[in-house]
Amino acid sequence: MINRATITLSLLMLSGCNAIGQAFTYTDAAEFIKGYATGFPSDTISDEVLANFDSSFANIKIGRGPSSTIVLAYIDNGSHEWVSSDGVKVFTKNGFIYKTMGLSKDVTYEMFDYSDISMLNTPFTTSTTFYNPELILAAVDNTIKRLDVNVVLLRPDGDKEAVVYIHEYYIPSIRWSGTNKYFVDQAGVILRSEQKTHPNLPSFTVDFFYKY
Amino acid sequence: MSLDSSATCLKRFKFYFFFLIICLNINLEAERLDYIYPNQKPSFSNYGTLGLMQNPSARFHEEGTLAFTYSAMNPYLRGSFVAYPFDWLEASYQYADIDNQLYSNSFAFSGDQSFKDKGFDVKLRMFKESKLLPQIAVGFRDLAGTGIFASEYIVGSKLISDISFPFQGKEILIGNLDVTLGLGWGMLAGNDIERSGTDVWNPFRRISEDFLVRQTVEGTKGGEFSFDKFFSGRVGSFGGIELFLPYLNGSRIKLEYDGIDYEKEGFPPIKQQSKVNFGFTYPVSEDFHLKLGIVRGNTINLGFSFSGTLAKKDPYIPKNDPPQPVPNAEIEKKVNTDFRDFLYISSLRHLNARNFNIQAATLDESTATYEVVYAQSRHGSYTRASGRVATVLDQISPDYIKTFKLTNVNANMAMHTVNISRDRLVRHRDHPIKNVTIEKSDIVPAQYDYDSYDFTPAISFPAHYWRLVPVLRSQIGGPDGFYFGDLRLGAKSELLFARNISLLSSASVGIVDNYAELKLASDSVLPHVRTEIVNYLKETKKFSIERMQLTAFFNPLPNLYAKTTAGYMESMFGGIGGEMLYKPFYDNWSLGAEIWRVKQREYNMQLGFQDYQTTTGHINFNYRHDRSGIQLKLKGGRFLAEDSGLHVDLARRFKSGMRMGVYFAKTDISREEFGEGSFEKGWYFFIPIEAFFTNHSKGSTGFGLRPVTRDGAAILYHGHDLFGITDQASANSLLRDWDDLYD
Repeated sequence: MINRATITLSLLMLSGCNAIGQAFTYTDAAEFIKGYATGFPSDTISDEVLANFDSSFANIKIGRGPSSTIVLAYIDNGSHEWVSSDGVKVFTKNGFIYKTMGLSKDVTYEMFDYSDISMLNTPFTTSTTFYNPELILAAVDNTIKRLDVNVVLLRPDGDKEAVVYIHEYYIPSIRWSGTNKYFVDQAGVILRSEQKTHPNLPSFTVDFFYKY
Repeated sequence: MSLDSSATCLKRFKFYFFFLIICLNINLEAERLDYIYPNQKPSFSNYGTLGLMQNPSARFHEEGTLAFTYSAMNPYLRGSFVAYPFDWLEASYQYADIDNQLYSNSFAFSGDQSFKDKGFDVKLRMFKESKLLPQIAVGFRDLAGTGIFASEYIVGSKLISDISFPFQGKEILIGNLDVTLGLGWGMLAGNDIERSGTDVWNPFRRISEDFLVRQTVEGTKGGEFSFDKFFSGRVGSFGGIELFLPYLNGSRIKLEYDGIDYEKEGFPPIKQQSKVNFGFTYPVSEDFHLKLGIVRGNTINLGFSFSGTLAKKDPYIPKNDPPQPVPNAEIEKKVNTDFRDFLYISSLRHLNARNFNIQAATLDESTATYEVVYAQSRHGSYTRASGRVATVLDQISPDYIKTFKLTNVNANMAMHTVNISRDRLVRHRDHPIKNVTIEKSDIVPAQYDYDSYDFTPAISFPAHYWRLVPVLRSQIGGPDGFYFGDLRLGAKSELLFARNISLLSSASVGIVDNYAELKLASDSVLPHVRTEIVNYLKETKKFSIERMQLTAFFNPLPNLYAKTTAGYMESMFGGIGGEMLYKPFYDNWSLGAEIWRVKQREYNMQLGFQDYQTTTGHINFNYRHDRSGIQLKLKGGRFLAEDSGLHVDLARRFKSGMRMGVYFAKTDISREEFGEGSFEKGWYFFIPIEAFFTNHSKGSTGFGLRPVTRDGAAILYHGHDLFGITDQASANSLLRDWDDLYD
């Protein structure tokens, strides 16, 4: 019977003992912990950044993680290839992310143009492939709708009125469904997309800044 | 080719074609199932180990997994730490609050506090699951404890995937079914297996009749292994199923036939109205599970578990901390080619900006070698550190430089030298190849003579580094109350008087505590070198100096390291002493010796001492098995309470830098003299901080637990021990992380 026991519980904090001059601080830790707990605010794109970028770029935020900047590297027949500093590639068609390369869970969707009037309110089927784990060529049921009311997006390059396309999708083989949103300006240029690309990844929010 | 043979060929082709289609379909189906049944990690039982509800299973987590589980089921509240140093070994330490029993019969001693029990469980996999055969494991509950939960078992688990049936032209998915069956002894023999003609049936009786009788251990102080009790006495059966539900995020239903003997377990009587238990587990995420169930037909059971696998590189957060290119590198390279001194200054500036501190440098044009001596405390991977230094130098060094000779030092002691071929560094950048990008022969013991270098940047001494840290001190499971602790704000400081002389200090102020009721006095018959912990905690509520030690490091000969230290080495002792370590660069072992003359500090942990003083010293032997990462440390000699014996520490280091280990010690004092627990033991783990962040960092956080604080086998804790300081003074410390070179 244990009735006179005392137990010592020692919590060792930051005990890197191998070198003199340990530099890690709790300030850094507190920031990240707060960020992952409550979400990182989207990086504000300053006027300076807007001016300094020669090419089109986008600000991409995955779930509640910190934002990253991706740069437009290539355009091919309406398809845009964006590249990040650590080599991740994102392929979009009018803001719809149809392919990623270099993420922990990549995807490939059959490409389509959601702004095509003939597709509005008419269900259609495409295919998708997920990676990690792999799911090859799963059928996707899609419906595109356009909101009657425009919204105003607050952006660092000026507030813009946007038409909103709602993309509802359902993959019957794994019973996964969701809704993506695409915000397009009056000229049909994508301003923002909110899209869930993979069942095991949080939602992508991408703000586009075109320089042409 | 004849018609006959071509027909045969066609037949064969059709067969193989259809076979391929079937295989592809099976594979495609298997992939779809990963999305229908996500979050498939096994779940925990109420005993803090993987299993059903009350019954264990033969499941294990991946190696390098740590978990914490909590279960509430009247009369028990149980918290457990679980570790998987290998994927065939589960070890858990649990704390149970037992509500139907008082801590002691003396109200004056423990008030109305409920009984607390500590236990240690182990499970070992015997056979891995195959397509047809189940996974088989052997386990022990409440090992070397008081025995109120003690049991042994042999258990098998088999997963039946994707159960479905056709209904009205559609396929109805039922789920994945994990079936568990087992035999149990001790407290798991609740469902006696009886055979006619025998009073007690035990399958091992054919080995020895002793297995028919289960010994009871009386008057134990805990901590004793009762080997002669294992698998003896009556044997019972248990079993159950865990049904993984489709499309529900990995939710699962558990149904089991309870194997516990409630007439003997814990402090009976515990009423059991049904032998069937029912539960539901919901994975909020892969690593966080919630559970709810009904046990014994009359008791609600709630609980949760956290688990995390930290063995692999970047286990949680991929790094976003790439090497930063040198701005205008081509211009700098041109200037550095024309002016040698500019190369030194340029190197100093760019390496400093990346947290590498150049100590010395020399450009040897005759051998086209640029030698740089540096220190760093940013990267836990020494290969990555070398790679980053080389990458910077490659951008700014004249093109005629063919080799970078990079020597790493710590506390002004040479650790290692890496000779990096510039051509190979550049050529293999996109596809590093083991033993080609860096060959084993490129990693050599370091020779370091500060005065022999052309460039030796001056350092302004004293140099000071400091940081603020939160500190949590805890006392758990005493008779005064379950938990006592205080939250403090600490300051850690290092003052360098010279490259090899430092004053290492740490102090803290208390913010909040609950020590008012803590009063347990030591009952040890040995010198009270540790058991006055209560006095130390209470008298340092406001302020304490945990450490203030002055240390000088020396590297008198190759592979030989030494230090002398004076001051307040730890919270309870201060004095003077030294340590030496012989560590052959290419070998996996090291041998050291240390001796200290120390006095016990006053309870207020300030500058005074008590009367007790002693000499403590050890011979230390360390061995590392490179392939598995297992590390063995043996420490033999005289301990603080003037007992002599051996301390053994066994740990495993994973690729991520995480370490988990256990230790125990036996000295020349008897079990009675040692007291509660019988002998010194404990466990710990260290997790590198960078596992949780996108940046690289060398810091680590750790957790350790010693079941009972006693005076036997007490070791002096002194900062900057040589084994830690010289971690990078071995070829293996770079070879193990060869793939980090370009990170």
